[in-house]
Amino acid sequence: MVESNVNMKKVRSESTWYLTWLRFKRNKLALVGLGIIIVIVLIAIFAPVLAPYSPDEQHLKDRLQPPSSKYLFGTDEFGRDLFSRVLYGSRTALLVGIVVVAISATIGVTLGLISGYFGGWVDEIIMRTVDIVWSFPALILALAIVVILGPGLINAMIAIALVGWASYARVVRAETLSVKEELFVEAARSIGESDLRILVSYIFPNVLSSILVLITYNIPSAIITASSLSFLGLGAQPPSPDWGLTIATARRYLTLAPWYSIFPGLAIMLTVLGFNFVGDGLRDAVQPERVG
Amino acid sequence: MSSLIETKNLKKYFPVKSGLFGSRNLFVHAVDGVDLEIKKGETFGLAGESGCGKSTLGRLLLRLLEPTQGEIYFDGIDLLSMDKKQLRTLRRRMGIVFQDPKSSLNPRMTIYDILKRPLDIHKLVKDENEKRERIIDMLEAVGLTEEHLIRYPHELSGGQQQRVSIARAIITHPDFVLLDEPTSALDISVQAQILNLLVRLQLELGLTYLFISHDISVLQYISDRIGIMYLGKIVEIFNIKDFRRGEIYHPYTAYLLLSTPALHPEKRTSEQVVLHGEVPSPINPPSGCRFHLRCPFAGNECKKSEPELVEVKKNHYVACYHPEQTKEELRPLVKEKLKMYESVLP
Amino acid sequence: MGVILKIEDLYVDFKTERGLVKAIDGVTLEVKEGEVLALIGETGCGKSTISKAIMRLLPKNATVRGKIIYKGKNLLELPESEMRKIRGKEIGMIFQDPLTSLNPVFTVSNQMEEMFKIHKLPTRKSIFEEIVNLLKIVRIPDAESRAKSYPFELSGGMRQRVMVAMMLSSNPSLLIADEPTTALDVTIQAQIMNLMLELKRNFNTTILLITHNPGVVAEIADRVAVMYAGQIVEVAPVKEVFDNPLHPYTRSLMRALPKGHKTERELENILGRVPNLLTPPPGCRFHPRCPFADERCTGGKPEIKEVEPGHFVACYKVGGTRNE
Repeated sequence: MVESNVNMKKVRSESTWYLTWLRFKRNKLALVGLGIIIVIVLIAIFAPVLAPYSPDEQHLKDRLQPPSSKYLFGTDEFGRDLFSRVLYGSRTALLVGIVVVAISATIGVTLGLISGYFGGWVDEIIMRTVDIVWSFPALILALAIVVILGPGLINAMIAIALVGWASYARVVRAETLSVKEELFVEAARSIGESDLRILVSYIFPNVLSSILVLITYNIPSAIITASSLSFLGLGAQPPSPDWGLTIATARRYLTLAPWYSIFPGLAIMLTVLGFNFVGDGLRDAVQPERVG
Repeated sequence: MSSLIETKNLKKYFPVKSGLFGSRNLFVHAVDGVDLEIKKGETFGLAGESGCGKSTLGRLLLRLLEPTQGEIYFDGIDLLSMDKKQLRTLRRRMGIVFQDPKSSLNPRMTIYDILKRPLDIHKLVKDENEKRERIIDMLEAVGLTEEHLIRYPHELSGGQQQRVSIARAIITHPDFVLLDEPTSALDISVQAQILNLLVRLQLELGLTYLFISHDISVLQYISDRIGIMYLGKIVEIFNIKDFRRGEIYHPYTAYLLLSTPALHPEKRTSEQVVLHGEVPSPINPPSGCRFHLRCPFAGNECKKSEPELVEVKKNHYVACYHPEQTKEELRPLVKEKLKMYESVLP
Repeated sequence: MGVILKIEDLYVDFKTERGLVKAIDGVTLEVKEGEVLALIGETGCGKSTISKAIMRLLPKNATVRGKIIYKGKNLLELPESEMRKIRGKEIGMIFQDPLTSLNPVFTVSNQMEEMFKIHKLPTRKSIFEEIVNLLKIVRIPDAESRAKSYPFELSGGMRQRVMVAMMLSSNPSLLIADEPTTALDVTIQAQIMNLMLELKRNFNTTILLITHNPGVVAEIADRVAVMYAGQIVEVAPVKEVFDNPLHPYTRSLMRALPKGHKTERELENILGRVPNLLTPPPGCRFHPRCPFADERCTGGKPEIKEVEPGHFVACYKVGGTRNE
């Protein structure tokens, strides 16, 4: 008998994550999004190197200057270089995105897993809380929380996270309910796995892809909400180079110096777009789980 | 032979929500009073159509589901009196293999990790090298190789995935393995490989099997005894010798065999023996004998009261008011159909 | 008996990110008028690809070469508008899972009415009466009220009957049944198989049955074509396939059937697994698993030849296999 050599050739073992990557990289738009995110992250890291001026450096002679070779994006009412401020603003934006997602995902995923796996009255309590959180428009609820906690970037982030966990809880619960029905969970029980272990090693890894998709959508929405709060004067406080705050100040000079608000606006838009492209690509790539 | 598993009047009802507020309390009578004994070292085949409760019964025996009522003994131990921790320890002695090989394995774990978990849970092997060796031995026993250790389930074919499931079930050297339609999702040639493997492993490791299947042909090949389920009840239990002789006492058993696709074109199902109608709803099973609506022998007594499972001859149990009539009238057809299991190519 | 459908030298390739999958590799097959021809093969052998190629329902990444001649017309060259008339009206199709082929938001009679309208079928009485009549033909009890139910309210067997009734409304000459009973219980399976035989008898419908189950083949087929890895390896009358299989693969398949008892015999083990069609083995695609294979089998693909009247085999070792 002649042994088939077909299955012997590939030595590399292919995890489902690797297959997800294979599908993801076929999506041009998603790669563009990924490029944008990488650029923004690099800008945030190397802002001191890239920025020609310190973000707080005032050139009182050059107030409200239009874009020029000296000031690429022009200057504001204190003669601060907007290009440098926009670059530094990426730090606040990413910080908001990461902190908010870290808090809301931790709370939401934990509660979602518990809710979906155990069911019963625990499930009832968690899901009714989610319903309450969801019954308010996100911005209004965040606004209310900030008003209680007091204005400031940190409080704004806490407020957004306290609103954002609900969507994680709901998605993770739904996913858990369906993964729980898979036979491998029953098989895990049949070999004597504990509930905690089943949640951590069997269910969580299989809902992780949905969580990642949610995160990539959640980061830009957190950035927008934070910018909105800053715009309303409840988030980042002057002299922070926060994009939302900058737009709020720029409003007063809209006719006099339009570039003042355009560039931070573009920065927000690009960041949001980048994450959304990646989110769409990821969403298409994680399901279905098979290639071909 | 002593018994490994014994149940008494085992019942499992699932509540169904109905109406806007679920005000009416309806139940699916999935398993509705089953007395069953599985002997050490045997393969007990459990047959029935979908929805008859055979899979539910299997899960109850391992207490993967909590019964509504009844008793279950595993090697003399009262399974229902055990707490969660004791039960988890006892799980070393039981294994399970499911129908859908793809869904049975965690897609995020490598084959190595999947097989290592049972050893870790029950602290069977301490040394990591020894563990690896035991896993490789197991893989080879089920017809895979060391090369598969680092693979993920989706990289294997359905048959290979099923081999991994079998390896996971028996790596702890259990006494009992529940095989829930283990070959139904597989192609014929792969089914043959898996059946051969199961037979060999049983001989080598002294396993006891409960083999659940809708396919009488597979069961008649692998089983020592067979139980037939209909709407939550076992209607007949017999050994393979009686079956081969065409000694069938319950009309449902006979019709199940007669409508099984012939394994030879000269033994085609004749139109007269096609069973009409469908299985009634298990939410509201018919009164009396559950089969009477589809039964050609049904009389008045069958509509009124439910027949008990009684021993008609040694080691042959049937729940029917007309066992002798069934046997006599259907035997010629049954014997003719059984010939399809004989004509094996040289 | 005339030939109603002739497939000539059909090749189907699928473009995937891993490369070209050579799913169908030179298939030639005739379906005769009024017969039940079973196309049997295991998962991934390409049997469903053939049925989709006939209906021209293959996905976009497929390239098709060869001819599919139905009543003198090459289906592969017809304009889409012509093909639409053939689909459903001339060639009917039923699938494994009838639930996915029925629209969940319409009642049974709504969907069947559509069929009448699309194909502008003549009706003698009102359309509803016609529909009820069809449902009665496929032995649906209580047909009037069933006609008004939604697909999810019906059992699997009932849904399959509805599919058959829909197909009957246009009385097609050819029915392609792709695993029609795989999802059903045996007692229901027996009922549906009987129904198909009735179609053949009463309406002279030609049936191309696609299945992996030798039992279903034994039950209703007149002739059988055995497929392996995109190639047809044997075509013969059903009795010949079971009693006198000439291709080593068919022989192994027949000996893998669970006949006898474990204490009496071991089932045939076909070693290895089905080849990956991205890189199919050269020559006869079965040679890596064949106990009789030699150099010739790895060289060129064996032609399918008539070795006994009506019995075609694609194997270099025919005759040799019989005595070994």
